[in-house]
Amino acid sequence: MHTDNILLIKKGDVIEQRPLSLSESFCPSVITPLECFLIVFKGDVNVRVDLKEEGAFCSIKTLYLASKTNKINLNIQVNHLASQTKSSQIIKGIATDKSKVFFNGNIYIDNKAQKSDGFQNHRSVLLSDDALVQAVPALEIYADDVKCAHGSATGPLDKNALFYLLSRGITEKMAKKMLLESFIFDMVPNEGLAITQQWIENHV
Amino acid sequence: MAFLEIKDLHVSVGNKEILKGCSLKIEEGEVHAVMGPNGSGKSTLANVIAGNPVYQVTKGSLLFRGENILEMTPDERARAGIFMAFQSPVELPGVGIAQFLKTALNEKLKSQNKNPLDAVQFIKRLKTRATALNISDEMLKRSVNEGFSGGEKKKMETFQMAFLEPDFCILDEMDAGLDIDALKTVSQGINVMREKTRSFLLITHFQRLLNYIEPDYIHIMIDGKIVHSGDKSLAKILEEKGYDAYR
Ligand SMILES: Nc1ncnc2c1ncn2[C@@H]1O[C@H](COP(=O)(O)OP(=O)(O)OP(=O)(O)O)[C@@H](O)[C@H]1O
Ligand SMILES: [Mg+2]
Repeated sequence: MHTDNILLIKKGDVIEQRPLSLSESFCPSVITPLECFLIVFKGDVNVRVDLKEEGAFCSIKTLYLASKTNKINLNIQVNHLASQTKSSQIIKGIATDKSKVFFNGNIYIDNKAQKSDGFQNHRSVLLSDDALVQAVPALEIYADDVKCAHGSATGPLDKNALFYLLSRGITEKMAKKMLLESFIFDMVPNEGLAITQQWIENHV
Repeated sequence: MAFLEIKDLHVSVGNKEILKGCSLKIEEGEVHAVMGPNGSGKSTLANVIAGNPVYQVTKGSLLFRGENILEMTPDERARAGIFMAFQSPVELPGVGIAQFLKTALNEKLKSQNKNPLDAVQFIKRLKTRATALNISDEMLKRSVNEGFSGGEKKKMETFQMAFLEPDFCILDEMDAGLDIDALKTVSQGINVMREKTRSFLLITHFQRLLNYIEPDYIHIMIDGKIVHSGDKSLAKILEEKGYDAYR
């Protein structure tokens, strides 16, 4: 099964796919904003985005899928360096077996970056008691007229939701699969769907 | 052999005992209603029959068609024919109603070594059951319970039941939050399901529902036990006098 980390990146109207390297850095502008989607299975991933141009925008969606004894070190650094820049990070993850995930998400807003907007949300599901997810979101804000929001939640699949599916005669494996797919469905582009579904199928 | 036989059931959550020796017997084709004050354990009983793992059975027995179902997982019980319409159904964003019901039905058919429904049969079954309960196509396109109003959720629970055609239907406060017309529609939907081989357990606070769906028996649950049983006339007495006489 495929386990190399993947980067899907929007170029104009098409989505390009390539292996994700250890360090990725981007400098999006107004006419070429960054829209990308990362699928991370293991190892170190460092993403850095510098928003240097007034009004520049980036959207980074990250899905990590950690299994076995795999370890993921995910660091995302977004720097707002000009005014009216906007960033959105959605990070979702599933961790099972004895995997370990360390996520550091840092939003830096420079004092020149007035009227900027930084958003980060991290949610993960633990499928085993031995899996570990540690999320450390950090905000460094040096401008006074900005919007910045972040949130993080980690936990097992919702017991009530699982029982609801079971109570309709759906098997536990299928129920978990349905809940995990619904957890990630709104963020995964079509190009990443097959590989994600395959991973879920193999790990519930 | 009774259809459902509950004997001296004791149930706890953590250290707290909720059902304290509950007994109840239901025969095939019967409609039973359970009434009782808030917190007396009605929903707990429904959940225990459905197999909710939050509740621990510490004593007593629960036989469905002579089989000890305490050993069975919730999904096995459902495939054996037990269905509970939840008092507070969960929302499942991203799980489409049609996909959900198709999966549920096909799992059941599979367990009976029957073929799954094909797309046309499925849509036909979905549409006829939805129309009978006044459920629009637009509602069927949504995620399970997501964003539905209180009353709509109740209606959707009844719809799921009508679609899945279980043998034992537990309806936990089906009437709560339904408007007058919806109550009639839903009651009608339940009444058409009444059959010699299908039994019902209705949990309710109000006589009104029992005017629409006439039960064969009414039980009063107080503090984790059935303390009194009678015929449908009991609802009227309760409506007038409350539970004080039974505490
Ligand atoms: N999961 C739980 N954890 C802790 N306590 C619980 C749990 N489920 C039920 N209880 C408690 O058990 C008692 C019975 O609850 P239950 O929901 O069965 O009552 P009910 O008769 O259905 O009440 P209502 O008419 O208000 O729906 C209550 O005191 C309730 O707080
Ligand atoms: Mg209740």
